[in-house]
Amino acid sequence: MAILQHYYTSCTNKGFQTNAVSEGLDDETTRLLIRIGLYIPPVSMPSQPTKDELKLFPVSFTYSILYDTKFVITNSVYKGQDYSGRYGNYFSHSLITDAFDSAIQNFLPIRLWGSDIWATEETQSNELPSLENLDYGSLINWENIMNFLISESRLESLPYMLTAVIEGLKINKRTIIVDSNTNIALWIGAITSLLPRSLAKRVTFTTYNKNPYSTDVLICGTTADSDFHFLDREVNHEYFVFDFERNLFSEIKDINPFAAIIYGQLKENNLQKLSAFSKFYDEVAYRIPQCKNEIYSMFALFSAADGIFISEDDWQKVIHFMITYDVAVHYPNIAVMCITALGNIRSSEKELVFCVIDLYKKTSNQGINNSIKSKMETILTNSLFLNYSLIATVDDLEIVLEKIKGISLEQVEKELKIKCFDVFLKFKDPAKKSQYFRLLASTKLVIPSLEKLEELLYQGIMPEITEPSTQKLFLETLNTNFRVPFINSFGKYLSSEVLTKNNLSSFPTLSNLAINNLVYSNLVSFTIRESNWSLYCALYSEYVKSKEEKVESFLEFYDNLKKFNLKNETSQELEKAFRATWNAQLPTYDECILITKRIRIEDISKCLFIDSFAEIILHNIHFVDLSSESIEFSEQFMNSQRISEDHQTILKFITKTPTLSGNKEDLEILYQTANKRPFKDRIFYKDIIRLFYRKLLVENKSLQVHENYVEKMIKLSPNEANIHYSSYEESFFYAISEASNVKVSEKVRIFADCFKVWYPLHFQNQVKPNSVPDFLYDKYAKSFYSQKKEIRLNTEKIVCSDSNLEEKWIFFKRETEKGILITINKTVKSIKNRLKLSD
Amino acid sequence: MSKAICPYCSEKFNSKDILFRCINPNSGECPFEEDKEYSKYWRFTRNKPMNKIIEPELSWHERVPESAICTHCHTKSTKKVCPFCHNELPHTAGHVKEYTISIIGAKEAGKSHYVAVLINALKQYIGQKLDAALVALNDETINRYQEEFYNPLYIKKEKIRGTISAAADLKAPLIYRFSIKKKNIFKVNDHNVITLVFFDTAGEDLEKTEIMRREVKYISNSSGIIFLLDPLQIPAVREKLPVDTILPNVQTSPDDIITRVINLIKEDHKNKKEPIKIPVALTFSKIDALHSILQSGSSLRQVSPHDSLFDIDDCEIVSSEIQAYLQEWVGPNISNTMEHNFKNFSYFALSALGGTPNLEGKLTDGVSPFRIEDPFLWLLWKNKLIEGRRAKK
Repeated sequence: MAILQHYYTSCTNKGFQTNAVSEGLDDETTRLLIRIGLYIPPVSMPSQPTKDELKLFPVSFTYSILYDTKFVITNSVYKGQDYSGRYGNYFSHSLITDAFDSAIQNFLPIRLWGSDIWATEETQSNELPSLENLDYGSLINWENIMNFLISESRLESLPYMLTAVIEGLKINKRTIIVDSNTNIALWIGAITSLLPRSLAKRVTFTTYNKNPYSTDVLICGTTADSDFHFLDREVNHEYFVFDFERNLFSEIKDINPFAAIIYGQLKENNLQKLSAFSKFYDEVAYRIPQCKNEIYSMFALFSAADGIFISEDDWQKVIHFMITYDVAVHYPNIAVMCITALGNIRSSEKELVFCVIDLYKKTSNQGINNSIKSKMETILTNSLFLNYSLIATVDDLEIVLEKIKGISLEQVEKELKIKCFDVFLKFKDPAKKSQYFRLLASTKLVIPSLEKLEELLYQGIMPEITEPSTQKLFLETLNTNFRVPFINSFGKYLSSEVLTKNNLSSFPTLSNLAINNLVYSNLVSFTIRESNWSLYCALYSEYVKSKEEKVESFLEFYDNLKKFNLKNETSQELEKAFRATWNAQLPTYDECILITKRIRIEDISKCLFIDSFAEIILHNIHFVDLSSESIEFSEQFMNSQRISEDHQTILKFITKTPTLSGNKEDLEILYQTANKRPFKDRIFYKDIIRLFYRKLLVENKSLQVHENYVEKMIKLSPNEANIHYSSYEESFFYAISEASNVKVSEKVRIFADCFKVWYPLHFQNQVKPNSVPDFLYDKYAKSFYSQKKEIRLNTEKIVCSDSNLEEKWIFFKRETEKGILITINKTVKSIKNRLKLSD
Repeated sequence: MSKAICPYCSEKFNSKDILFRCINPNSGECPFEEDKEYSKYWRFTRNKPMNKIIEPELSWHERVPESAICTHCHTKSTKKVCPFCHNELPHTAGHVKEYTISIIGAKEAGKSHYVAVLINALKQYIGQKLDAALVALNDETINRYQEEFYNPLYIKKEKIRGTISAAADLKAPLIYRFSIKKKNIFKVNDHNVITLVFFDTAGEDLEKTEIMRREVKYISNSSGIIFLLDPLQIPAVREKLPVDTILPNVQTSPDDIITRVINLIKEDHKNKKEPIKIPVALTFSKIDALHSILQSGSSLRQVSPHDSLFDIDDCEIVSSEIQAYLQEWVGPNISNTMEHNFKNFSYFALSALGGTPNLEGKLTDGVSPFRIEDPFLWLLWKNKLIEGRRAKK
């Protein structure tokens, strides 16, 4: 688009209207140009000025942007009277284009101030040519600007004004300048020529407007008598005010750092860098338009890329900028230069380190090339692991840990990793050391397969393993691939530091860790691999304390024991483990059986605890019903040297018992054995007597033998007799009702035999009621009135099957029923007595 | 439901819809927001950041909101703004009826001079006669009247600068609170209080219907129109005047402007058949320059007889005399147009300055206004704000 022109004034005989215009200017734009070109003279100027006085009126030289795409420069001058003689006339000449740069390269709008191109007189033709070329005016040039700035200490105001403009662009806050018209043009010249061109292009301005409220340009020049109220809130909040006539200025506390840089370079009279930066800014702002307000960050970026030292704060800005605007994508070469420079700084600044982390994340997501990635990894490792971590608190590192999730630094060079390990080893605070390790692990600077890992842990973690924070770390790793190296180091530590140095005092504090389900088995494997028997025993003794299933542990111990190749010491170690397992207690019968089944006899027979085992097992043995386990156990143990003589005797008898039959000789052996040491005084006596009577009633069928032993029984001392009676009674009852392997005919025979033996004794009063075991009554009654129908019928059947017995039986039955009635009557009476009731 | 009219955009709205603007000056505490409506009204090229607009919470019994609390900074604001253009409304908005007086006419007809002198006279002798008081309702009105009207005319004793087209310079109207003592049968003091809004129109803005539609929309919503007609621009008059009379340039023909105004109002009111109800005072300005050609017994040579009551007889005499002059000087066209299109109209004549400024634009004899109150009082009477009287027969 060429540069179009527009004139507006009070035309002869027509009044205010467009005087002339270039072809192609639409109505809407023309209306905007008319508004921009409005000129109201200052109140303090003569209301009816002469021609000479007219020259003193300020020129309203305005630069505006329409619809973000069209650029307008308007030169409005006061004309005084119009054709009718009325005052208030002005002439406004506007240029509009979408690119002034086509006329003048690196165009700076203010430089058209005072240019010959500006018309001030009404033209007869209604059409104006469009322009291709423009000529700058002579006032606004660098020399004049510098002379202007260095006089009257104006240079001191410059950083404030630059700040106002830079900040104003960001937040749409306008600047009001009150000064002479030319000075205002020079101020605008100074500001816009010091800013990069593409930024200056956005700085709209006017050198004069009577009513600053009516315009929206960024810099509005005006006069002290303008419509601007200069209210406190306007000066302090709403506008940046620079009133050089009355020395009234908005307070600007923080100079924009870029403004400060310009000021510094102006003072040094060295603008080369600024000029280079301007080009850089223009290029970046063109490619990444969103970043146009971040001038200082861009300056820092430019400096950093140039290898110039910048502060840590500036680095943060640079990194933030790189992240926000994807510099690595748009300008990979600048990103590389910056990242290279970043690699040279050694910072412990938290914010900066966090920025570096963010930058790394951002760049690694952008598929950047390997060299940048590798540099970033080195930088991150350096700043985080070799610098920041040294001063960071545990909590800080916790935040870092959260922040670096997903970052892998596995590829950083070995030397750097080793440096990190050195740092790790040097930490004195266990909590921090643990946290540092988490960082190393999280970023894969240490990996489970690392060769040196066990050594690293041994040196770095294990010395503090009694610390809660270190133990916490240990426990955390148990569900990870770090488990094995940790446990191995732990094992090594326990064996070398705790056990060999007799530093056993710390062992109990570690036992909880050691016997942790996830640790113990690996630790045991370690001891086996290292053949560290003493550590194993120490671990076992702690481990078994916590276990309910002691047999399993003990058997596991036995299994592991075999793996240690201890040769002759097996029994001794088993003995120790037994004591550790059961301490002062003894295993149960079942436990003993389980153990004896699993442990080889040659290993266990030399142990002292085998006699205890014998005692426990024997205590639970029943001669009448010997189990195969009991017999087997007896066979195995009866020859052990560690078993007492009595136990040996009993065990031997147990092995013999299954061979005994019901014949007279064997019955006698049983009878005699029961009455001998070590059986007589023990529970075995009663048990053997029971076996004896069972064999007598069921297996021996001689009535004579039966009668002999009953006679013996009757003559026994009351204590002994009780055992015999009860055994006989139990055996009888067993024989006639419970025994499943005895035929009914046999049962009848047994019953009849008993009846034959006992009936005469009963009627001879040799068996006294209530003082003798009149078990026949009792047993009969039990059978007769049994709830079980089968038993009742069996009994009846047994008795009635022998006709010889029938008569005696009927009598017996009657007597018995009478006896029962007597018993019942007695019971009823005693109840009545108790309740004190009369009949 | 009470209605209000925005003095800026002339939109009508319910009083309960009045909005407020936060008054917290610290944008750090209460960030400014770009105000699209305000910027659109003032035709800024980009939206202006301003204090937030707040909607008041109105109780069921409240007819007009009087304040609102900013939802962001919790500052209480009593700054009322128009719900359409977001311009600040007078604090009386919603309570007092607005009367907009549009002063229109061709270029150089003397509109600004008339506004300047009328407002000054309302504050002084007319106010006294009516037992009325005129008070500016905002600083802008005070400053603008002082700077653009009063100072040039009364202090510098110069002609006022030509009014710039609203296309270039959109001006805020002059807004006043006008209270007139009412006389009632109980002789109890009572006041009619109204908001008076004066629009001084640039002659250029009446030269094209298209411009009028954009720049002088307020005419359609006026309570009264004072149409100034410069007799010195009428060729027949110019011929009759002494040779040394300082004559203005001949501008747009008055009937063209009247036609455009009629079209504009009818367009806005969407009623093309009915006569327009807005009272129009068709007024000859600069009547002092015609002394030599007026008949000796002309009522136009006599001072205005109105006091607290509007003199209807005088009004009718003046009106018919002017109508006759109009017939003579410009033919029947204007009268016919008025007859056919306006329900209420009357003819007036006045002189704002009382004399013609010299060639340098200086008022050597100062300002001596003549019959300037006539059209204004007639509008008040037509709007039933003052009583009228007739001579007893």
